[in-house]
Amino acid sequence: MAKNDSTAKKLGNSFVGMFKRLFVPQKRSALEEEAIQTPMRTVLKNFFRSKLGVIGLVMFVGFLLFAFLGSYLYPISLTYIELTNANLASGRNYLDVPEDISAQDVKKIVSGVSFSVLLTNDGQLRIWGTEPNQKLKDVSDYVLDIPKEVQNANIVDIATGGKHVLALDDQGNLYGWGYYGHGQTTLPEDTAEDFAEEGIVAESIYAATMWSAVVGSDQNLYFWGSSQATTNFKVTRAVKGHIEKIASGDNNMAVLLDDGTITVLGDKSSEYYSNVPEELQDGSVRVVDIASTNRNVLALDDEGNIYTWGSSQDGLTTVPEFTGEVTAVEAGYKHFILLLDDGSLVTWGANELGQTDLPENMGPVTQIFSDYFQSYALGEDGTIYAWGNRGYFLGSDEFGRDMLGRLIHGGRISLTVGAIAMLISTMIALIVGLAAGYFGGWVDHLLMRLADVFSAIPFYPIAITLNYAIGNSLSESGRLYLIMVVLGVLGWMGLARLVRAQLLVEREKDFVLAAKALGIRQNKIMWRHILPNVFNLVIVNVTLGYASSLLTEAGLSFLGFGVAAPTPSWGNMLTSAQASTVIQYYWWRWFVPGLCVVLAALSANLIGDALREAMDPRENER
Amino acid sequence: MTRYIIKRILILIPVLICITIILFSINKLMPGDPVKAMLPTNLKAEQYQAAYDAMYEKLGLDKSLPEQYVRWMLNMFQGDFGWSTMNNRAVADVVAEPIRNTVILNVGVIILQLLISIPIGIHCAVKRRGLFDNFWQVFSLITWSMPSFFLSMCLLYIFAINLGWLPFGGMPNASLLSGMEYVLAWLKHLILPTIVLTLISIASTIRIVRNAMIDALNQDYIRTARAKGLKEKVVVYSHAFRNALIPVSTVVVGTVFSLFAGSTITETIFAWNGIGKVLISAINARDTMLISTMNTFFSLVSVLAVLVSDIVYGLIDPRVRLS
Repeated sequence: MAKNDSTAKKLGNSFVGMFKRLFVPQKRSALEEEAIQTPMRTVLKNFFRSKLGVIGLVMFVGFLLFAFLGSYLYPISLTYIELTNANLASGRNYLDVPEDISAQDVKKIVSGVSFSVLLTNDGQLRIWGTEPNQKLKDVSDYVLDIPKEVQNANIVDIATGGKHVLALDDQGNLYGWGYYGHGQTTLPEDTAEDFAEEGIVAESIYAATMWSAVVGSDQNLYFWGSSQATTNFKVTRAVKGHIEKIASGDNNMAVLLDDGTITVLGDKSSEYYSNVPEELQDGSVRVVDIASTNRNVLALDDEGNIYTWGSSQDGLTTVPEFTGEVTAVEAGYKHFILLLDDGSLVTWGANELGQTDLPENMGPVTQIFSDYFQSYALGEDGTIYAWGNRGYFLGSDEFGRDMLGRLIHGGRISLTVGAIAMLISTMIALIVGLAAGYFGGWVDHLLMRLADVFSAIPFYPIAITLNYAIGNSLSESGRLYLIMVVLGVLGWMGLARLVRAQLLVEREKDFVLAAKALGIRQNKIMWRHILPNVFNLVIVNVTLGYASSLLTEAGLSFLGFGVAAPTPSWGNMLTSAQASTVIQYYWWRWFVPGLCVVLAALSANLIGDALREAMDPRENER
Repeated sequence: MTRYIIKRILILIPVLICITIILFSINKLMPGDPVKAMLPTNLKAEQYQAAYDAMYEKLGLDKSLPEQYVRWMLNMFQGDFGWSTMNNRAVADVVAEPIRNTVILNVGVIILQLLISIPIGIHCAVKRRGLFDNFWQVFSLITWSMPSFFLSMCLLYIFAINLGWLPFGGMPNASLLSGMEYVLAWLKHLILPTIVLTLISIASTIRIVRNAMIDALNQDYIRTARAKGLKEKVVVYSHAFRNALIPVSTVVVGTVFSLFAGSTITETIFAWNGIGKVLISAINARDTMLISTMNTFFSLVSVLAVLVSDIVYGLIDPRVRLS
């Protein structure tokens, strides 16, 4: 027992000692320094002596954690698309209500895709969030810059479209700013003339992503903006002069009339238009409040019953069970909120951006506001509760997907594809190189000619052609495997030649002769004495080759012949970013994934370079 | 020497046959019906069937695969590369202009690449481990890790968009300009792609030159030369560099052949109408004949590059051809 103990201790000591020696500078006497180290230890020591190598290692481990741990902690849905939120800049301040405002001061809160505007009881505006617009001639202005005249006016009503704001002051003047690509921020000239002639004043304002609307003092509805949306809006005689309230999606609007019935305008092919409950139209119930998401409507009648219709997406038509009396209804772009008489809230609908995740410890609520993906509630105690889309760390892409999530998952795909491609090519290279070097003769000749054939094949053209020729008939994961195989099969030649050459060199060395003289079997000489010397070379080439296979995968995916959307990879995240407008205005869409490719490849190259120097016997000369 | 050259060429023949067989099989794997692509769409059903059968026979698709392969090879030897359905012209006519554009772009790149990398490589080897050497080592690692599309986008962002000095990409418009202006327009369009391709390629050439020089400087004859009391300049340039030229010259020969190898990504980003870009548009248009011709062309260029650099190597270094 005692003997075993001491062996274990020795082993343990030497193990600890190995790490100690690696990281803690050791003082040694001249005699000790001459002690022989194992080659592996020399390599490790040399490697950690190189600053760049250590930097590379740290960076690489960082990327691995970012991609793999990140994917685990930060799941994304591949099929999720939210075009409304496309190309938003980075910012997490969508819900950062200014702290100096109390709920008692709030008259109304409205939100656009990435910002919210608050109207105080004394007619002032406060705005927060992230700027969704660029300063573009004839298209858009910054929405966060409230115009001077608006700041000076006494505002009575506000409305927001996706990227523009409308404000109405007590004199009936209409102000609009932000995105005006469809002219949605200013009343069209002919309407303005009519208003002036007939003495009509705007009474309330509404806005959607592409258009704006005004209800005049004649109780008539006027709208303008994108013709695509507004051509369907035909104001009927029944509606004219009886408008009580409007709720709208992008292509439809529900109008609550003064007799308590509802009329829907807009796109006739939608369920929004065709599924309106009978009783809401024939006057048998009296509706008091309405709210509309993009594709669904929620109505509340005077007896507290609620009605909902429209698209069946996101479960919006199924009202969850609740107890209590409904006092108000609200809707964002894809979710509904009910305010009950005890001040609690009921909410349902899409929750990809946390729209239905009510804040914890919420006290009784007096009023609710919701628009797009942000919701606000005014607490009885004066706090303003906010929930929903906080924003995106790294902005969003052309489909409104979170760039950070795609970067993490794209990193996982890119790093994995590169690694497996490298593994495949290394396996082939080892088999071919070792077989050629070991057997020699015609096997050698044949294999080296094969290597010649493969080296003569131009990489990018053939990789692209192959991915196109075979890839189309494969499933998504099949295509992923295809890229790994293509990268691997087209990339083994250099290493195979190196392995063969190294094997030939090692075979002729004296220690092999000595081993033969000792009578050691041929196989054992090969595995125990020759191969370890070849493997140093392989390790260096695998690290350097990993960097280049990361780059080729990125290049192929960038061209659209690698990893296919919607599966993200660092390369294909840049595919849609080639247009000059994207390069100019949406820098986060190409710079960030591009930088990730550079840094990941650089870290692998730094490691490989440091390893190569660490293994170079010339470096160990004193 | 003649024997050496003949031997090298003879070795190439089976290599070439293998490559063409691979390319032929890829061509056969390609989705889409090549006959359908070549027929006009406004024919009636009966006419269409007749025309289809005629074209099927004309393209030789009724023959066995080996026979089709031999026919394809024979046609190419006679200069008949087939018909490009994308442009509705003979393939040879389609690729003529892009090849010219690619060569124009690459001439500048190769000249710059050699002019920059050889002096730097030598200097790095002589002042090994110095500040200069370390800088270029790190520099080459960074450019090595830089995907060309990212570098291109960064340069476009700075020089084409923010500063507005250079065009965003594309080709100079020949019909609108004349004389000096035309040349200037070409130069303006050439600058950014040239910078990208040069930066990407100098990293490896610097390393090759540096390593060749280090090997040469470690030889015994250098010690002898120094021991004789020769000036360091003479030692470096006349004794070491001449011997380092052997591996370097093969690199030079190799790069000359890369004149014709279009860079798919850079040409696509800069909308440079070179052969790399033609390949991408051919694939997107499912133009099978054009794709196979381009791939054969690319392979031939790289095979020839290897052959010529082997021969040059043999010419310069007698040890190679004797072994």
